[in-house]
Amino acid sequence: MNAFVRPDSVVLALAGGATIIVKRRLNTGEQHALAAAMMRTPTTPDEKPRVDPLKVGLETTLAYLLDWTLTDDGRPVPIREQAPEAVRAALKALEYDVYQEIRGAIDAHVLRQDLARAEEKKSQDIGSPSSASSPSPSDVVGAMNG
Amino acid sequence: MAALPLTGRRGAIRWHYYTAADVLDYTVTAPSADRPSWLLRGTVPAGASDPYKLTQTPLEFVATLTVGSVLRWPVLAVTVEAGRIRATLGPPGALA
Repeated sequence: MNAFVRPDSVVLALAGGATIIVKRRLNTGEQHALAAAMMRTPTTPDEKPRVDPLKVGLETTLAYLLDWTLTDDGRPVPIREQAPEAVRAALKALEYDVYQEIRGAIDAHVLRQDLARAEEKKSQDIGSPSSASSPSPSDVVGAMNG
Repeated sequence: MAALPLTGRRGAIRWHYYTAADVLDYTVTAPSADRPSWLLRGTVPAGASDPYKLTQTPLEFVATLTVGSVLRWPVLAVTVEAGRIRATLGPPGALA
């Protein structure tokens, strides 16, 4: 099981034949950036930081979305390698049901990836010889004392 | 491809969908009799390069020519020191 996130992508199908391409997983830096982007902008100096519910969906979508086949009156709307502001603007210009479908597809993808990662870790734990042969802490202490 | 150096304001070293380094004020020089590879020189703003991603493969240099028009070269070797980037490049891909 790799400890580092590889830049793999996954194609997700939407209704009507459109597709989106998303990052398979976010790395730690991207997770931190996403968490920061979800925070509400304080309106007073003593306001405690808290998550803005309106930002959760949009920022999660932005963090994962790489490309799509959506068109505007038949014209492609390119988002690959575009600045985040441009992609954010394109997302905000979508019909709300289309945005919700994209968000739902990404939420389901994230859940699937989390489950797959948990399964990978579980099978590694089961298959690892260290789990059966590594000395327990008491064994180590005993060896040091003996 | 013109033999004259290609200069530009903004480009990037990419590793798949990640940006490994932003490159400003770059010059790409075509191969010559004494240098078989393309050569990239430019500046990298502070904090705009990722040492981990710069060690990955495959890397490519993406030069934005106009809006929606880019040229891509595979990166064969790259160093970033004191805000300066130098990379040897393979032959460029088709204009996209």
